[in-house]
Amino acid sequence: MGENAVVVDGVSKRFQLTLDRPLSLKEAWTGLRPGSGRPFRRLRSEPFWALRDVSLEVPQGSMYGLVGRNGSGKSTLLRVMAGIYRPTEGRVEARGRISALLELGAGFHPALSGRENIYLNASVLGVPKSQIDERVEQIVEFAGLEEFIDSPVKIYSSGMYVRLGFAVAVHVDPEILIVDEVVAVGDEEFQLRCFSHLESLRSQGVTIVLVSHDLGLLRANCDQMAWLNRGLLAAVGDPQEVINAYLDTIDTEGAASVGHRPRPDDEEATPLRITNLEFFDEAGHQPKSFASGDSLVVRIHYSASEPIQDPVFSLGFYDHNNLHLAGPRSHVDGFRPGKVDGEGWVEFRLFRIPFRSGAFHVNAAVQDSDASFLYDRRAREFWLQISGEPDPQANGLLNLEGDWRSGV
Amino acid sequence: MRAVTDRGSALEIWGYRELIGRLVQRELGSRYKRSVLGWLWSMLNPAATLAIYALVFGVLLKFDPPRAGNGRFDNFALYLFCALVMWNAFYGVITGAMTALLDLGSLLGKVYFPPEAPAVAALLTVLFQAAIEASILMLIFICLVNVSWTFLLWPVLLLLLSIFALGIGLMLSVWNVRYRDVGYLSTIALQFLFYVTPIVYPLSLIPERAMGLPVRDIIRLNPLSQFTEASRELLYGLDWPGLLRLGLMALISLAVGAAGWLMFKARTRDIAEEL
Repeated sequence: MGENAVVVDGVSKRFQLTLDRPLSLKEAWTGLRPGSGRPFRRLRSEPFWALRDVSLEVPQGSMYGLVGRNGSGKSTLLRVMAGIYRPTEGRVEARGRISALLELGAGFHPALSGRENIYLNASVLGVPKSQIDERVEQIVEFAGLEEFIDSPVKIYSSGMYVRLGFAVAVHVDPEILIVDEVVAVGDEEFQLRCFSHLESLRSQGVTIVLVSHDLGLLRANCDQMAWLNRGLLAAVGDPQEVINAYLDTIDTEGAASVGHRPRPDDEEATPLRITNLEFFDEAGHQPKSFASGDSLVVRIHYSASEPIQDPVFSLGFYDHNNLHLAGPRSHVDGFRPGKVDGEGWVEFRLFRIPFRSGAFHVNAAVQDSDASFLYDRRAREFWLQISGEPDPQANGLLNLEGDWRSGV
Repeated sequence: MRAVTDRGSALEIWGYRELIGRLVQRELGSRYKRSVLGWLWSMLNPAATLAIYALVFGVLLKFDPPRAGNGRFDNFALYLFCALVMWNAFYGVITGAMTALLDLGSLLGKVYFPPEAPAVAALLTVLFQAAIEASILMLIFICLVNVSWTFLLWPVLLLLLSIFALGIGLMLSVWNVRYRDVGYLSTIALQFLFYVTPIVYPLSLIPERAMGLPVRDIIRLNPLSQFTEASRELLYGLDWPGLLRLGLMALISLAVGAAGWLMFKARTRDIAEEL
C-alpha cells in the first residue's frame, strides 16, 4: 500500500462530434455533401469535451468507485485508463497489467466459439497460452457455460456474454482490473458471485476500478470514490462523502426542475400538478439516507388551480434497474383526500422500509377520482437512499417480515 | 509506473505474437470449413486459376515462354506460375490487411492491442499459402531437373515482397476505415495492376512503344514487375537478377514498408474512436 496503481494526471479528452464527418472520398475532397433539401452544405465538426482536467490516484490494492450520471464521462475515463483512448491532454500512468471489462462481450468476436474467444481475449491481454490452458475449464465453469462453450458467441444471450467476459477478465491474473457497469446485466446469483470474486481479488492485492449506479454497493465495497459530473471531477475521496455530495446535487437538481421544467402537458395547463416529493423519518427530519427497517413518510406536494374532488394519488418504488417494487395508491388503500384546492400535501407512511440497501427512485402520480384521467406524473426525479451494510447472507431486494417453523 | 499510452513502438508487436498466432490459426482453421475437399482447396484454387490463364494465354493466344534455365524445355504454365505466386501473395496481403482491420477493429474499442496485429496476421496467413504454392512449383522444377542455387534466393524475394505489400496494405487499410471507397477503388486498381504487370505474358511481348509511349519501360518500372520478373528468373530461368536489382528492390520495399507503417501508426492512434 501507499503506492499508486493508476495515476490520472490532468486528463482531458476531446471528441470530434462526427455527425458531419466526410463519409466518402468525394466528400472529403469537395468538403460538400449533397443533402436532402440543402444540396451543398459545408461539412463541419464540433469538438466535445468528454473529460476536462481529471486527476485522480488509485492506490494499489484498493477498490475505487466511480459514480456519475449517464454521459458524465465515466466510460471514457475507464477507456483512457485502459489505454484504449488516447487522452487529448494529460497522461495516465499505471503499474501492472490492466484487464478491462468495458462493455457487453468485452472484446469478443461474434463468429468465434466461446472457447476460441477465451484464447483470443487472453492473448489480447498478453497472457501466454500455457497459462490459459490451465485456466480454461475454470473460466468455463465460472461462467456456467459448459454446454455452449464451443458454439459461436453470436448465439449467446447478453447474460452469457457478460458472464464469459467477466470470467475471462478475472482469470487472467490482472494486476489492475477495470470494470464498467456491465456486471449488472447478469442475474442476481451471478452478480453475487462476481462481487465475492472481486473481493477475493482485492484481498490478493489486485487494484479494482469500478463504475456502478448501485450506490449501496459502492459504499459498502469501495475504499475511495470519485464522482464525475459532465466530464469534470466533482468530488473525490471517502465513499460516504462522495455519495452524499452526489445525492445532494441530484436532490437540488430535482427540486430546481420543479416549476421550471417545461412539461408536455404545460400548454394544456393541467389543473392539478405534483410540485415536490419529500422523504421524512419518524422524527420529522429529512436524512440523506434511511436505514432498512426504519419508518418512512413520503410527502407529495400538490398545487391545484381549481377545486378537484377526491383525486387519486399514487407512488411507485423502483430499484436502480427500474424494477417496479411497489405501487401504493390512495384509493386502493381507502384514502380520500376530499376536495383539494390551491397548495397542499398528501402523505404516505411506510411503517417499516422493506428495501435492502441501495438507491431507489420514487415516482408520483395524481389522477382524477375514478383513476381514469392522469393529471400529472413525476418519474425518476426523486431518489431514496437506503443505507446499511448489505448482509452477505441475505439475497434479494427486500426484507420480508416473517418467521420460520418446522414440522414433520 | 509507465504511461498506459506509451505504445506503438516497433517491438510492441513482438509482445503480441501470441495474439497474432491465434489470429493466423483462426484464419487457417476457419478456411475451407464445411467443404468436402477441405485443405485440398488451397491447392486446387491456384491450380484452377493457373489452368485458366494457361489455357487462355498460353494455348489460345499462344504467348511464347522463353526456354527454361536448363535449356531442355519451355512451358507457359510454369513460367506463368512463377509470377502468379508473387502476385497472389501481393494481392492476398493487401486485401487481407484491409478486411482484417475492419473485421477485428470493433475489438479495438474494448481492449487494447496493436492495431497492426490483424494485418501482420493476414500477412503470415498469406505467406503460409505462398509457401505451399512455391513448394509445389519447386517440386515440379526438381522433377524436371531444372534446379539451381537461385532457388535459395527466392524466400528472400518473398520477404521483400511481403514488406512491400504490407506497407501498401497498412496504408490502404487505415484509409479504408475512414472512407470505404478505398476498398472498392483498390479492387479496380488491383485488377489494372494485374494486367500491367508481366504475369500472364512475358515482358518481351510488350511493344517498345505504343501510343507514343515507351510502354515496355513503363511496365518495367512498375515495382511489382521487378518482383514477378525476378521470381521467374530465379525459379524458371535459374538466373539471378544481380546485386543492383536486388538492392533496388530491397530499397523500394523498405521505403514503402516504412512509409506505410509510419502512416498507419500516425493514423491509428485514435482508431478506437473511429471504428
